[in-house]
Amino acid sequence: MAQVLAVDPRRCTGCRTCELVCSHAKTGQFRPTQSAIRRVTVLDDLGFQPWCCLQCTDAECVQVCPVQAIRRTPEGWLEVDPDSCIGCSLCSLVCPFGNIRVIEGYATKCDLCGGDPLCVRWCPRNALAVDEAANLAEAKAAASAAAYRKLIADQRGGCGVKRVQ
Amino acid sequence: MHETADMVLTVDLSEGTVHRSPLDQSIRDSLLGGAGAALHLLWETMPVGSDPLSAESAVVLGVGALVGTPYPGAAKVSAAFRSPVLASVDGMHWIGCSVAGGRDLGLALRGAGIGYLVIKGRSSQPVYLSIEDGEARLESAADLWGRADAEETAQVLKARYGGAAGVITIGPAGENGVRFAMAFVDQAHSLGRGGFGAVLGSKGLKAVVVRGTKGISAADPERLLAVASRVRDRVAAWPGLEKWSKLGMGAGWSIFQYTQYPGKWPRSVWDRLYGEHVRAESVDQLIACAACAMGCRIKWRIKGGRFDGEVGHGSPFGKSATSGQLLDVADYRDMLHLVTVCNRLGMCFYTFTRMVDWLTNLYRDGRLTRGDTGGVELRRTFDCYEELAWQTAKREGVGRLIAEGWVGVQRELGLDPQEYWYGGICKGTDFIYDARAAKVHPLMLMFVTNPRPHHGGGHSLSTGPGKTVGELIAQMREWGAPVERLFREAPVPEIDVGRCTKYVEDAMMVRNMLGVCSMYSAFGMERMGDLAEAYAALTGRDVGVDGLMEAGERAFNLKKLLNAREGFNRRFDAVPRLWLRPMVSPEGVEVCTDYFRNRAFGEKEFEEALTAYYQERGWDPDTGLPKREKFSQLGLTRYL
Ligand code: SF4
Ligand code: SF4
Ligand code: SF4
Repeated sequence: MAQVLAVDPRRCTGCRTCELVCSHAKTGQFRPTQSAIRRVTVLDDLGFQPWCCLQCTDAECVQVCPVQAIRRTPEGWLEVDPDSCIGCSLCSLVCPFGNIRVIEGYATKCDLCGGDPLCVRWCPRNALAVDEAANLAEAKAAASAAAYRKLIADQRGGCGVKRVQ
Repeated sequence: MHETADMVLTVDLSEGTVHRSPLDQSIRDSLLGGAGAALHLLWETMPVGSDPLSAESAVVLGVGALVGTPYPGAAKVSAAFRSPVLASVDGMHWIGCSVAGGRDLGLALRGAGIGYLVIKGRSSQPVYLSIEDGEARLESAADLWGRADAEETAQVLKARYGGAAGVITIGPAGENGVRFAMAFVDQAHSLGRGGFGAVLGSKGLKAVVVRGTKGISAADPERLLAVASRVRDRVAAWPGLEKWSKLGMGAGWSIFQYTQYPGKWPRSVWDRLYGEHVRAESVDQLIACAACAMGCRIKWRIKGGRFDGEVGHGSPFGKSATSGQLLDVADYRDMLHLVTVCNRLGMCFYTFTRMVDWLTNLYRDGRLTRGDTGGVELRRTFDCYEELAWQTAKREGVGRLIAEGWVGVQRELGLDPQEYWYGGICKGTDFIYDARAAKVHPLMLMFVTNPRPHHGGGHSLSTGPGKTVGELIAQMREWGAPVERLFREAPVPEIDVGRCTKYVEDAMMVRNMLGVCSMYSAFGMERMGDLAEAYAALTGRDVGVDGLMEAGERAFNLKKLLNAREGFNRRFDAVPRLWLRPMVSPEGVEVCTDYFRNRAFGEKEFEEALTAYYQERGWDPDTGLPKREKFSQLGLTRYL
């Protein structure tokens, strides 16, 4: 099953540690503007949103690439082969989320660091996690179901069953 | 070595010119970066005795050496400037170096390849400075000046230049020359207690916005990442982390309710009105500086009350709790709103609320009349306090008087600020702590000995309360301090607070040169050895702990020299008279004591501590100024 990088904006402090370590791994320099993961600032109420490639199943970037430089690994995520990439920026133009960019001639995107992402290891707030999307959804469903049950209980004094007086 | 660290960008606002030049390598080697090199550049740029709000005054920003790396809390930018605060009735002004963190400013300056920013002159029209990958331009600020507050200006510029652009902004208080106006960095961090915002305003400079795409290379990146991980592991193992990650700095209430107790309300009442539960219900999210593994700022959202739903950012709990008690404001939500108002207006909440406390009490007692206030009634109500904030920032009504600061009021009305009953004042500047509550440790004495009467990020294990003498000795020994001379363990533990202050100041200066946060050292998560290793890994220059501490001493002496050149001497390092009087509170009588609360600290003890401080510094205890030998020893003779 395909793995994704899950981001939790409620935990993110905006510290950009993820950008610093990612850019170092990708470019050899601490260069946050060239990181594959980005901490986006939401300006209207000052919130932070880590933002990163979603390893789409039916990926626009893969389809548009004229030289097939973006390939799926056996583990299921997408990697750019820099030797094939011609730096045409088409992938960058079609990605619906702004998650792939051409930096110094090559397309750069999150490749999950080969399965053990640095940003996940370095994020001081556990705002990032890597897992199969299905597991993440399962966990989220369990959490929201529990929250829903609590809400109902608070409102009705029972497990969703309205008491007849 | 990273190639971009040393570039100095000089902006002359009168001429409208921009000039780039590399920093002299000998300065980089002897003063490391950040605050150290910024003080040097200020020395070179600013004429002696100039009016801080005139065109000839200058400010220098310096990016700390480690900023731009993932070293925890390496985000700090220092600002060296001459304060518009009146230090004396005859118009003296201290020169100091202020420091701020930020998510984006430090990284953006690094990305633009700028290590230092020198700003001088005065623009005839309101402008903001934009720096994009080293290209600097002055842009019209006509749409912002007089219209947008500090927060709105930051939002406008981040929308214009991208959310990762670093910004410094001022509000109306800075535009109107309020002597305690501040600047704000990246919306959530204040910069320049002591009127930095007014200096920018006097230059017609509404804001600085920076973005850049360059990177920095470390001499030994693996080693740098290893040191950073080591410090982060200590953070992760810290028992206080869980509470901290919910409240940020607000987690410190259990200590704070003793060290910052103003002595008016019983502690139980204070706890009920301002304690931990009110913090928990207002925190919306934590906000960190770049590379910080903790995050101490918050975004808060007021729950209920008149200001329901209002959002603010920064670090509001401590200051609002103390000032709330001083001003008799029972609803903490009103005080959170007042923090937001002061932040947006761009002025120091501490100075503003304490001056208002002082003046409204004098008015109530009939020592100040409507004749003095220009007809404005100074009532002790929240609505009046808020109205005064607006008047101050706009210099309207009685705000014209408040905007002149403590000594300004003294000049105008002959009232003595030393009579104010909480905190303490030195060189015209109010302290945020009162030593009668906090007890006399180096952080307190620094308010007196530091040319800029502020702690300046001097937090360390040795300045927190409740440490054992063994812990203090261990930290000072690691700094290479002569601990035999500084401590006695038996029969009762004693610290020589005067002598220890020297080392705390030097260690603070090291952190401000490297641009790292003092929080890690305050909680014992970082040792000076980590900093020496990180600096070596980044630059390839292995100067060790001794080399760092010597550079810290050098830079501190340079700061002293800048002030000596203005005429400051020991006479100005005056312990506030307030500290010599008992604080009578519902909890009993609080007096100054030594750190371990074994003996009282009176006038004689303070004078002895100051003398010991000057001696440990190798300065003349009579004048309080550095001696020639000190300059030769530290390689500072070029400044004589
Ligand atoms: S780069 Fe964009 S389109 Fe391609 S897989 Fe990632 S998110 Fe999808
Ligand atoms: S490291 Fe974590 S907390 Fe920091 S910006 Fe990235 S996602 Fe947010
Ligand atoms: S502890 Fe606070 S001031 Fe220090 S680096 Fe972290 S967020 Fe910034």
